Amino acid sequence: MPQLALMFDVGRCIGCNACEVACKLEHHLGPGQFRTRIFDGTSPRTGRIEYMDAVCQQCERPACLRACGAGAIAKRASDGVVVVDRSQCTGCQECVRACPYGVMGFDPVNKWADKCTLSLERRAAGLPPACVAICPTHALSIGARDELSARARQQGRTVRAVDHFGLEPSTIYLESPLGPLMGTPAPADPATAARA
Amino acid sequence: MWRVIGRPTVLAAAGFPYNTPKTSVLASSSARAGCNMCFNSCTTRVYVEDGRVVSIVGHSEDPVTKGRLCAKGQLLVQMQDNPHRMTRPLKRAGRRGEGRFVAIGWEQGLDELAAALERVRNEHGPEALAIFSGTRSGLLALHGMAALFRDAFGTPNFSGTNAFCAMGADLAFEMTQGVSIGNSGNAYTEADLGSSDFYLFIGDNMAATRPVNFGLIQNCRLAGGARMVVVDPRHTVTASKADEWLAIRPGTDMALGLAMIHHVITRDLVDAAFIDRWVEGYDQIRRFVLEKQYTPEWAARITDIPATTIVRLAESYARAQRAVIFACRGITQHSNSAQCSRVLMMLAVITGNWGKPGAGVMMIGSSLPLGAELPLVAPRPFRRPIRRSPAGWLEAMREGRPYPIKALIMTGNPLSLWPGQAALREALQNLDVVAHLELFRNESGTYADYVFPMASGIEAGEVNRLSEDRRVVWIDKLVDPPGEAKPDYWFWIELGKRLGFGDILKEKYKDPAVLWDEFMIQHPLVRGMSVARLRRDPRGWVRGPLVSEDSPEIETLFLDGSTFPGAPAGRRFPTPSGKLELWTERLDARLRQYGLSALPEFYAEPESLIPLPHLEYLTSDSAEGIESPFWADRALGRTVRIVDRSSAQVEGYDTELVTGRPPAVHFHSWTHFFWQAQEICPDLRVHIHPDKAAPHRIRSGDRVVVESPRGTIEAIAHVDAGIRPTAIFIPLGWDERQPYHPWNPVNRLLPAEQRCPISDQTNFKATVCRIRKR
Repeated sequence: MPQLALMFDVGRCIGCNACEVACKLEHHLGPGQFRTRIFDGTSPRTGRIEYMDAVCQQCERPACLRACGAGAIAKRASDGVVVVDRSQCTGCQECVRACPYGVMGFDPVNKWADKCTLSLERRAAGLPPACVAICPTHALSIGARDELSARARQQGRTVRAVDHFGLEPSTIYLESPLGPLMGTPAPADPATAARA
Repeated sequence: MWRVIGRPTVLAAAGFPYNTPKTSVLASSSARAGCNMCFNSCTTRVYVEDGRVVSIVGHSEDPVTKGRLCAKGQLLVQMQDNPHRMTRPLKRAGRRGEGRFVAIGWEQGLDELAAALERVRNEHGPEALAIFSGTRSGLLALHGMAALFRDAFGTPNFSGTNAFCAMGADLAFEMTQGVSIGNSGNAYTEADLGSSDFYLFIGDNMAATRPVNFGLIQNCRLAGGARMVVVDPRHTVTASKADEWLAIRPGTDMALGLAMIHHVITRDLVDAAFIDRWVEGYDQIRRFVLEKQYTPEWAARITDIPATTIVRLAESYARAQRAVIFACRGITQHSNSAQCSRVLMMLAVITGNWGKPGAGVMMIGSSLPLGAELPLVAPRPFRRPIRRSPAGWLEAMREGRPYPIKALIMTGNPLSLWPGQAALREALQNLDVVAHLELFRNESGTYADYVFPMASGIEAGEVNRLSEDRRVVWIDKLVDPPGEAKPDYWFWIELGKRLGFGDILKEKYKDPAVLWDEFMIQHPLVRGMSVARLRRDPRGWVRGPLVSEDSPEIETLFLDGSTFPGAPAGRRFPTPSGKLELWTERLDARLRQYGLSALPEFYAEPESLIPLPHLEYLTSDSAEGIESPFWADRALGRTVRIVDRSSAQVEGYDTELVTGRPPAVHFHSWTHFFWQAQEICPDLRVHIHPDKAAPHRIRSGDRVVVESPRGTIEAIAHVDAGIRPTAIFIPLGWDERQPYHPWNPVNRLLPAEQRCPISDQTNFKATVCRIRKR
């Protein structure tokens, strides 16, 4: 079966956090618990505010899986999604420490590792993941990784390289198609300089 | 390089349904509803199990939202069981402002309030009661039962939130196109606003304030390649998606607009055929702008935008086939609110960008005429409203002039969101009785004698807030409110009954569907918007105007060849001349009453780092002033003259203070009671440029002190180059009683008296301050 993947369009995301809220609402996550999280920064290339979605990469060689001594983590053959078997999880958090993307979550109440499953239950009902369905700017999509990559190439989009750790991450990040932001803040006001 | 928005927050009181066993949300039944928080007016589907809200998602059959919903609409799931909700009426036990209360019953609270209002009426007259029914209270109160109570009691002193939002834009639309309905009549659809070639955002951070609408516009722009320019002192999220960002000096947008008009006229980029057929008063405007020499070079010094850039902007705007201007609170929240709005409308009109898809001016204002027209009951000789804006009530409350206000019934959070916070606190101490209607216990409630617990949205049954593009979303009552909370309209009916108004504020109006059908849609333009039709529509909304239930919807108003609903056949624009009116003798005569003119003479705010023309007020708020020529109730207003010298208040302040909405997860006061909104955006942060921060050794995360001539607040510094080096930005909506991250509101720094004489709109956007490390 093909690897299922999330695709995040940096060009579209406005950092409204709707995906984060939808994820926590769908999966009943409490304070401090995240399966997806939006970070902001300024692009050194364009000078624009940009957002990144910190979410499970559904790696081909998951660091979390290798770190788990209890054998609670598996990569599903059917869709390539990495899942935690809560009945096997000891709550030792080795997987949390092992993930170089910092996206393995932990449920501090139930003491088990908690991660993105691309909304397993919703997909079983024929629906897209909660984050994909809610996104006001259509910045998130889901599909077979190869098909998503082909579509991005066809549209001339650049895929951001995020495989810094040799784990073959599946999540696709599309670079913003926008060039450097024209117009810069006005120089310091002489009137102000005189006063200061 | 990526950093977390906000910081990890440990929160003890997480609300339902978090960390509860997950039953199958998908299998449970859902009902169509809508988010009643902002003007995007998104439709929703609400999942309810055993009387509790378990999930809220977007409504996928809505062609505008396509099932999308921002964080706010979803966070309404944290309303019903919120530990911070008011659940019982309270009576003050300590001093005003102290926050000590005892729980009482509704009967006692309403009886005592009614008796106190009667005493005020007997001693000072009915005008001594002022009512502030903000948009939180819902349209069924604001344009319904609260307005009806106002007339029955006989007070003219009544306001919603619009006095702080879009009053200037609303009046400008009325002056220009004869009616203030749906802005320039354009709609958020692919065929209309999505079809533009040029998007000019001025003082509008749509990506943060209406994320779903922005998603639609951005999708269309990315597919079609329309150009997008954002004019804003800040590199907002909206600016980050544009081709160009212009960091204008706060409060000088009118100069930019005038210079664009000047260039368009001198280079003959106007739409002459359109002007000839559809525009009244173009020659007067043309002569004036040329005589005054409002050139790009003139505007460059004022706006801090190079003349070549202004020329390029004017050319690309005028040459676009379809260009739209999104101008929001960065334009309307100024003392030139109405005139600056008119200038932007003039630019659109003379380039033919009016009455066609993909064009126009959208300003989040200008709603449908819901509710009844004044007067609702037999006219009585009551006095004129003291001012249009509650910011102008302060002297009446403090000094009793021009006549006393001795009682206030308020909703929402005036003690976070009105200007002149220190004066307001003093004024509230002087009142005989203060009542507060609210969802949560906030700072405003602590100053009230009676605090009543309110219900809204799916706990009450009502409609969305007014949408920018004339959509009405019916929201059925789906669950019970917590404790003894009641809808605002219920409160006004019960209070009215105790004062002998039971024959007008009828018991049957407690049913929101009856209230809507029998009261809210009396105006001929909305008569077709019945509850039956609203409920029937699979999209979840109906677009007005709709004169009868079977009339077709109009997506874009004022199209060539169309007749405005209810106007004589062939009347495209419902103005006296039938044309778009930029200048008329009648309009000029009206504006001259204030000391202004229909010719848009440039002025900015009194507090600026360079001397700019600004208003001198010839009438104080303790004087009667003049009767407004624009409102049926002839509210009193102030006369002014434009002066060209530096304000004395500026001495000692070296920084421009800009305020506005925080990131998308917040809406004014009420999201501050949702723990998850706090997790995303917890503390009050000051956006400050590295060049401004460096001399003070301020770094991100430092606690800083910001002082203005009005007051002092503290906040956390966020040092980032995405802002004018001379300005700082502080978002609105925090208050000192909020449960998670209490901060003094930025409005403590803002003046109450700097208001647009025409619209009474307060300047929230361009004042001065100074900043230092704490």
